[in-house]
Amino acid sequence: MSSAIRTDGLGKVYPPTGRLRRSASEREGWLAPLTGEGRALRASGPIVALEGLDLDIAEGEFFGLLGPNGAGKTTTIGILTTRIRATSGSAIVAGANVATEPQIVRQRIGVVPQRPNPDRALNVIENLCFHAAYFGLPNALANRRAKALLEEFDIGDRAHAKVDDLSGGQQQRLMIARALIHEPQVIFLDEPTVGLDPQARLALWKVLRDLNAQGRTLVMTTHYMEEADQLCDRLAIIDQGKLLAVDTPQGLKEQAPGGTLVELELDGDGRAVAAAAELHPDVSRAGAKGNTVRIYSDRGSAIIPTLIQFAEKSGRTVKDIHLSRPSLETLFIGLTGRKLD
Amino acid sequence: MLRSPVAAMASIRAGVAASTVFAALMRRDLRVARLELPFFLVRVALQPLLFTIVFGYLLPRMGFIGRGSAATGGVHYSTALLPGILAISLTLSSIQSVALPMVQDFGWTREIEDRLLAPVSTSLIAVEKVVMGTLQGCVAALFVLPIARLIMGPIPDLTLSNLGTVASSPCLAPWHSPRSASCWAPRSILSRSASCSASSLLP
Repeated sequence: MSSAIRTDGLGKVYPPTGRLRRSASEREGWLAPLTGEGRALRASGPIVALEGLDLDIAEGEFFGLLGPNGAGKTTTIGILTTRIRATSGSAIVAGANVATEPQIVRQRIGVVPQRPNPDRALNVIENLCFHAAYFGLPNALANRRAKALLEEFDIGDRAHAKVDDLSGGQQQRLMIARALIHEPQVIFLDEPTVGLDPQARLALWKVLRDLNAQGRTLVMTTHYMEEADQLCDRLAIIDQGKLLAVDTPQGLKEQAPGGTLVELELDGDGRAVAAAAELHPDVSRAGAKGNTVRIYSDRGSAIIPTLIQFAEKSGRTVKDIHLSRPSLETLFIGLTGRKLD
Repeated sequence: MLRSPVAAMASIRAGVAASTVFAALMRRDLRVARLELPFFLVRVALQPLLFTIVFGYLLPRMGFIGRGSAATGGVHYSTALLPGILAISLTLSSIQSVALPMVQDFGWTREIEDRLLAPVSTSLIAVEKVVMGTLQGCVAALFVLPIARLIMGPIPDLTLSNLGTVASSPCLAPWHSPRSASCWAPRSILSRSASCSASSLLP
């Protein structure tokens, strides 16, 4: 199977914004001492959004980019959809280079933005028809496709409504219909289910699965573990602009460090407890961060009494206990040391 | 999923002519302009109306401004005023109809992104916006002429026989700086001191 997307050492550094804004706040001299804004901005250097990202996504794959806010997911999508220029590295999307042949790439991809951005001056069906026209579809064909897509996404009866009158879920479906109007080979979705109610989210999942079943390549960013687990063939975990792991959801779960994650909340520093637990034969890994101790154990909840004993021995009281079964979530915490939210 | 003429889709995948996309972009902006026509007309008519009432009617009536005499080199006041009002409505209506919506688009609504995804170079989308702004500016400027004639009374050289020349001036002017609107107006209206008075009227 040939690859739909291939990136090689993709990097993006945003220039510092502090200077520009500093001069503005200096002009309004009274504001700077009041808020301390000027001083805070002075310190902000260039922001590294992506550091050498290598991806290889096969045709027909449902690929997920998983990471917390600010991990570089949106920047990655931005570069792959030719809207952001990479500072280093290269990317081939649907057989064309995003930097040197952006027009060809745009012709072959569909993009569903993070926040619905329909053309609010136009009504629902015009949104689709004009978007089709930007891609050179003749009017009659555009009209036919627009109607069919609206029917397919259950907003056929709203064809002549104002876009602002649609609900959030309907707007999101309109965005997907718009992305599909020119029959793209690769579809990018940037956090498509953010802000949708559970029912609308399930409906969207079905739409996405159907699209994938038709043989289209889908690339989706998300910060919902459950969503990535349910939908994606393969997942990449990104944090702070770096690729941490790429595998199938199942493969990633197996990589999750030693079984169940037990999190203890103590009333003081937890390092002594973590050190003691690490020596225990049933504990595969232990670490402390402030008052929180994270322990991976194959024995699951059976290890809890032992851990409480450890805590008491070092003079700490356990305030809270949290158990997580092996999941993408535990893997993510294992890889990044922090929770995904 | 959708049964679409395979041949048509295949030819589209092969690439689209820039002119086709340009026409589609223009069509979209014209459609939006048509939907907003009443607002556009009010916006376009109101400002030159006020300008001509104040500067072309009230002030001369109250005696603050001479109607043109030997002291001003024989220049009729209204011939000096008209190019300035023309230029200012041209500039402002272009800004209002294209630049301000684009500030919104790039600032927070991000609506223009659907056009930035069109398979043409981004500069073509920018050129389309310039052309559209020019068009709307021209329409606005053409509204000024009858309004000025109605309120300020007869203006030397603004006659039906000169209409072609006068009307073409706002249409050609936007391609230069707004101030050069005066360069394209009929020579006899402007030859003497128009450009100087136009620039003094511009903020």
